[in-house]
Amino acid sequence: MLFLHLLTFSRPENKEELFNLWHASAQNVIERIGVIKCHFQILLLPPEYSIEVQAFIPVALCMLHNLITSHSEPENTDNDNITQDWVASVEWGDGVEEDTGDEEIRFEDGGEAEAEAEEIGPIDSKALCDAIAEAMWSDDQGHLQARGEI
Amino acid sequence: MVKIFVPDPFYLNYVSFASSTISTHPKIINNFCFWPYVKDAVGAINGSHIPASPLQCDRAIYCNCKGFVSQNCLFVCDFGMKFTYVLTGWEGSAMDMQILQDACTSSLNIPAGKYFLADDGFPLTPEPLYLIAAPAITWLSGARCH
Repeated sequence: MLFLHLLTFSRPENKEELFNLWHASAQNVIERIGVIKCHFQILLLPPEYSIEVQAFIPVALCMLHNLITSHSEPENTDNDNITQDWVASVEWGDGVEEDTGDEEIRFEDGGEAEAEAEEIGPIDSKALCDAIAEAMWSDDQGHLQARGEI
Repeated sequence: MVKIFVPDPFYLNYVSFASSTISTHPKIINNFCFWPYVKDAVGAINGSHIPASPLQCDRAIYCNCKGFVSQNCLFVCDFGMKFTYVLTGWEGSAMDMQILQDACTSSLNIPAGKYFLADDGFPLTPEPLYLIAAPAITWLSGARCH
């Protein structure tokens, strides 16, 4: 999905586009389904077992995948670090160290917000989406203004 | 052999929400794109068609919208690239939302205040399940889509 955005690359023009761009990259972890399909070829062709056994196969393979993942080294750790460093340098310029402190403060705020959410209980999904999109858009505009791009 | 892995001792140890619900995953915290916007997300959810060979009398309902015979499976994946929930055995003609409803009424327990990231196959549902859906295709057509 992220690839589609890159093909028609242009800066997101409104909060919905920005929300979808970031949502697509956050949701990418679900592409793990494709990984286990390639890893375990039995998932690509219909096996000739009873339907009950066929229903058990993906569950067992997901369990095996988790087992393998938890007992192997983390994948692409270096690449992730490089990407994060690069992203941090692009976004924050020379002030990376100062922003570490900000993140800690934000984390504390997030903890308080979580506690509040638990107290409040039900959240309106639509309102939550709107609030997230609004926050993303205002932050993004703030960064752009700080860098003098608008 | 398959049935050895599915019962509780193995399945609950390796496919569970236990680790992902304690705190926000570092992948979210360390990425300025995601933090703090999706701090309450515990993973992504999606359905996937796995080819199946049912009995002849059941073939019609196992035929899916993509044109092949399959079972429709619901997967939940956390940000640590691990599966935290799997529901299999639904006919290929079943929609993702049907499977999600079945999961919610049976065994899918989501901590209060948490939600999944989902695509356009899932609606924004009221509590107790929170989903965030944003179809990329709608984005390309320029419509409002979240």
